[in-house]
Amino acid sequence: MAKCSLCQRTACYVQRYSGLRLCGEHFLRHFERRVRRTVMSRGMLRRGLRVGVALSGGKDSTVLLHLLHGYAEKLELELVAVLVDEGITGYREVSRRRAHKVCSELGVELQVRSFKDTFGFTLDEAAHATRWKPCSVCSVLRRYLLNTAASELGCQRLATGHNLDDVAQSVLMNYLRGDVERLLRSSRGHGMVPRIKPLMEVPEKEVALYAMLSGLEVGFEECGYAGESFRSLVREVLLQLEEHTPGIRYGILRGWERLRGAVAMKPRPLRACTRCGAPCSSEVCGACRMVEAVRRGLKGESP
Amino acid sequence: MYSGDIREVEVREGARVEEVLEAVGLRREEVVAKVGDRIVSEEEVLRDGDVVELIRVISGG
Repeated sequence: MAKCSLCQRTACYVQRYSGLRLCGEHFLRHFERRVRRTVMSRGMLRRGLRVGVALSGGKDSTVLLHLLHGYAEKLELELVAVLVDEGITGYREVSRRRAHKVCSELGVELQVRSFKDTFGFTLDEAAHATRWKPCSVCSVLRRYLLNTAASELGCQRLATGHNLDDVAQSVLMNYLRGDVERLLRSSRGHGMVPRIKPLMEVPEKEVALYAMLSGLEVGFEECGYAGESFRSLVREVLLQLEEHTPGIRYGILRGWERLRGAVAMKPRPLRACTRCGAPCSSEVCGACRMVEAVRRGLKGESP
Repeated sequence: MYSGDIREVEVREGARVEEVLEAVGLRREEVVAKVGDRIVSEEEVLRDGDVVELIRVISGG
């Protein structure tokens, strides 16, 4: 049996990219230290902020909420969780119940926004109404709802549970699509609540392991539409690469950050969408265009 | 076990969990393994009759 690199107990995790072997207790400490370092070194939080936390009830956002809740007292943070219900039958109901439970246990306010109430359709209804894949519709509309909710709720930061795998996948997807603008641009701009990703330097498996070892109630169910996405193909490639060359995801992250540092991109000039007022770079924002296309598709008109 | 499936695989005596992963075609980064109630690393040496639970932790969305 492999021993923990820091004590004599049996290791329950082998961190292949560093060579560390860790028992449960040392893994938990190691994980918490790493997230704290990400938050502090990147200046993600400061005292007294009101922070919106995108909560789905899945492992990443549940771990994120627990960690932020742990910082809340010392940093005098005010947390408000925002859950977006896309309307995915058999998937969101379960995680929504878990989200309610964790918020009530931690005493965190939970705000729910749904596609149906806001746009008039669920993701299930929109899934085949346009030429876009369901994941594309979901990603644009979910981001829109999270930003508008965080803005309405007076949040000064919007924290999301994106982990290292998510970030490396996004970087690789933008490379593969040749979308240099999206690769290098900042998510910050007038009217956008600054987004923070405290888990961006921890692999997805470590987030899951942290949740399990801490006894957090999380599930590992997968969205029924996930298999249809370009991201799922990229995820497969990355898993293969990481198996072959441990640490490749950190390489992607560091390379991307160096590139962003070396290329001075002008920030996008943002203005208010003429229909909904949300910040956007053209006359009408992507979410409004998408909602219009879905509504046309649902009426049987050409999207 | 994987996604509720139960599969019986034969590995040599003294095999490690990673050999089970190879046998069922899963990569280290996508699963957490348990033997009984214990979370184990892929270097865990298995004993005769051990039941390995593989929990897929990589989610899409």
